Formats: sequence, C-alpha cells, structure tokens
Amino acid sequence: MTGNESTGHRRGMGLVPLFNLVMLVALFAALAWGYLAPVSGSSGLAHRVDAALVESGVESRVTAVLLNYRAYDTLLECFVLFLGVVAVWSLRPFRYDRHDPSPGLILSSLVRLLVPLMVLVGGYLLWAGSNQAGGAFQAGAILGGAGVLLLLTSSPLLSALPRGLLSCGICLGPVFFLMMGLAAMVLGRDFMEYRGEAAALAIVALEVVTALSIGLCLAALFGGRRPEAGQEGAGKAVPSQDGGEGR
Amino acid sequence: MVVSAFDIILCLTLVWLAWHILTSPDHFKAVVLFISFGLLMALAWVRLQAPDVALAEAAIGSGLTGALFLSALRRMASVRRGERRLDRAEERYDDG
Repeated sequence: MTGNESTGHRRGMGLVPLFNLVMLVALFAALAWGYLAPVSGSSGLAHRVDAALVESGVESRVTAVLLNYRAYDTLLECFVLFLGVVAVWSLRPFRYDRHDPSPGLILSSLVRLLVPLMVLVGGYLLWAGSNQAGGAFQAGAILGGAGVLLLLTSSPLLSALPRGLLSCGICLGPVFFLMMGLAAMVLGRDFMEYRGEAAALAIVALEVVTALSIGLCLAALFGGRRPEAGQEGAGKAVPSQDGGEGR
Repeated sequence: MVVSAFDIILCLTLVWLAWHILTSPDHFKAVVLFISFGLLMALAWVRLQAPDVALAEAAIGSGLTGALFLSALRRMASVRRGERRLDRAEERYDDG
C-alpha cells in the first residue's frame, strides 16, 4: 500500500485490503438496499408508540422509548458504562514519563470560556429531551466533554471535587435507575412501569441523574485511572498524568 | 423518499473515509480521519431524520471516542519511547 515494500511482500499483504474492500462494498450495498427497499404494509411500531405517548409522561417518542417503554435497555447501557469505568480503574496503573505542568494560555482561557457554555448546552439538551431531540445520553456526553477539557488543563476546579463524590456519582446512575424501577414495583406496578402524572416527574429525575452520572463516567474513562487515596482531591491525581495532553 | 446528489456524495465520502481509516499506516492520521468520519456520520443520521442519534454520534462517537483514541496513542508512544523507564516508574508507583 505504501509503495516502498518489496513486491513479494506487497503481493502477500494485498489480500487483506482486498478482503476489506469486498466487505465494505457488501456492507454498503446491504445498507443501501435496506434504505432504498420499499417498505410494504406495516408501519412498524410507530402507531403503538404514538398511541401510548399520552401515558408515557413525555412528548418525545425517542425519550418515551428510551426511558419508559424500553427503560430496561437504558438501564443496561448505564451498567455497561459503569463496568467500563470499573474495568479501567482495575487495570494496572500507568504513569506518563513526561508531562507539562502548564497547559498554555490559549487552551486554559478557551476552557474557561467553553466549560460554562458546555454545562449550559448540556442542561438545555436534557430539558429539550422531553419534547424534541436530546436527552440524558447526549447531555451526559456534553458534560463528559467538559470534564475531558478540565482534565486536559489540570483545572483547579477538579481538585475541589472530593474523591468519594466521584465514585458516588459514577455509581449513582445505575443505582438510581434500579431504585426508580423498584419504587414503581412498591407502588403496585411492574418493574420500571411509569404511567401518567408521576411518569413525567420520574423521567425528569432519571434524566438528570443519569446525565450527571454518564458525564462523570465518560470523563473518568478519559482520566484513565482511579485517583489515589492519599490525595485530597479527585482532580489532583488524574490531571497530574493527563495534564500534558493539551498541545 | 428522495435521494439527492448530496446524499450520494455523503455516502461515497463515508466509504472513502472508512477505507482510509482501515488502511492508513499512520495511527494518528487514522484517528483524525475517524473523528471526521464520526462528524460526517452524524450528518448522515440527520439526513435519515434521526437527530437524537446524530447528537449522540457527534458527541460520543466522534468527540469522546476521538479523545480516548488520542490519549491511547499518547500512552502507546510513551511506552515505545522508554520501556525500561516505564517499568521503574510503575514499580515506584506500586511501592508507594
């Protein structure tokens, strides 16, 4: 592929890109067929979703499916993220052999401008999720991005965050999700069955808590390892190794 | 359903980008291409009238995964640069 390998070597390696190309074309053709093929008769589950939308507590179909009808899937997604963080924290700790203590004027002032804006956008997406595009995962991703920016600049804001709070926040999403599901059972419904007036409140609470927890999980994944016990703040340990990544 | 010239160009660009991500010998270039692939993919989701998926793709698929890849690349580079030094640093960490 690069042109400076020997001819025999290149001929042997040529099969793999060819196989990739064939697979790509096949996948592309399958996708195009799936998109262009006429759908006959059935309109899927859309009418059933619409019919139950009044009871679901939200006006957005996507949010209704994610946090009400199929809340089980979202619960498991939260657990996947949580397990991801646990796995990353259990790996052998690793330290960079070099890091810049100062992130630079441009990056740090940009982060100072951007982070409040990102928190605002995350909050808006969370709120917008009830009747249009948006929701907990999108808001959580924006908050996680803000966390990554703070990690890059080793912001003093991070060292103000107690270490226990980070662990609690990461656990809180899945645990709160389960508690809400169990609370529905206590009230005489099925597991995670939310209906009517209470559903709106339950879904807003679920969205806020899961968004915060997802944001913390994503930032912790980027941070790479668990902050040390000896440090007084969560941010003290993490950016000391990640601080050099900003260019 | 109307397929415009824009959609066709978008699809072809996505396939072209995916091809280059897979075959690029330079990992840094592959990561940068992956991030741009994610952004174009988000555009494709918008064209498929799925703005929720587009938001998630742009934020998680492109932004955060890209950042994770870049940080992994940096760690890989520092492992390659001085393996012995890394071992000693790790031992020091384990002691303390």
